[in-house]
Amino acid sequence: MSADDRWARLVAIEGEPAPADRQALLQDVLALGLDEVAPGVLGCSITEAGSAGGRSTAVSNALAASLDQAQLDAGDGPCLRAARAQQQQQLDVIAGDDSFASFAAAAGRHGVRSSLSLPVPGTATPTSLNMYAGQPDAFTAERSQAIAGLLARCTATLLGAPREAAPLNVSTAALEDALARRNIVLEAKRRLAARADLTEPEAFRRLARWSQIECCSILEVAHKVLDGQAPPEERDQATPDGQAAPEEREQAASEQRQAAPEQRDQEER
Amino acid sequence: MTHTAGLSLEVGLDLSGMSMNELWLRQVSVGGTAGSLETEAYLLGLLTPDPYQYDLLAQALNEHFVELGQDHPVGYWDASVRR
Repeated sequence: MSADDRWARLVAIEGEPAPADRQALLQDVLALGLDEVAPGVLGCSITEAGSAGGRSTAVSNALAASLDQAQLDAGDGPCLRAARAQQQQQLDVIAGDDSFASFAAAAGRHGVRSSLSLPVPGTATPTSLNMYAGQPDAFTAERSQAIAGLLARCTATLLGAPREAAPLNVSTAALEDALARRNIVLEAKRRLAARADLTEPEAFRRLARWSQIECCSILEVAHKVLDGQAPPEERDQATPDGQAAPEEREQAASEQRQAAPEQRDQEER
Repeated sequence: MTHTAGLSLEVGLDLSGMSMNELWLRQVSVGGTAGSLETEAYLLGLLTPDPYQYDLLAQALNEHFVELGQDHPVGYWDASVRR
């Protein structure tokens, strides 16, 4: 399976609170952790830190299992610290770091010279996503950390973390406001598409072009559609004042009268 | 297919100063259906959006710039929305 296929499968879990193939998806996380985050990653694991120790939930290979176990035996290490403290643990040069002596010794035996452990946010049991690399400074690039962060959020969703903790920290009010705006744009798209026999992308592009011409938001042009105005592409067939043809204006007015009260409320906002 | 002249999504996001949260919410408000994880994967170049999804993200970014009086600097995918 290609990396593209794995990413597509992983990000699609947002709409599925309880994916049936969770174990396969966790393996996707590990495979992408090995291949996509940074060059030279030798092992990847997902580790829980419970009150009575911890356990590896999933490992990419024997090296990752062994390094996780060394930390579980010692009762400390970057993977356990990241899970318990919910703070990223990045060891750029393990040999020169005396924070985790047992882990450093085990890493040295396996040829691992740097590591990155990220907290998996919002899970019932504190959990971390861990990557072990064969070269120092493997995870210093901003892009490496961004990809690792995305993998950690995918893992959180897979492990059942609540939405507000897992993917993005978005307030309910902000989300409701975005959805209210979206409903207005979708209704305008629907009317444009029906009126001019357009596909949904074509109707969106017509709104986008109109917003460019008038240098305004797509919400503003959506309101104009709902008020019966025609976009520039349709004005050749419209009345001189830029309004849609009379029968289209009557249809828009009729649809407006029949709109559900809650939609009218949204439009008034 | 190519996108129109203008900033790429990645550069647009960088210049906007918006967080991934904000971009995702804006994408929702202009009619997009991509989840937050999917949006992030597009912006990191890990997944390739289809032309419609590309234009939704471009519009979401451009609306931020419009609010700052900077017009629509992010390019769209399809030449049909070229000014």
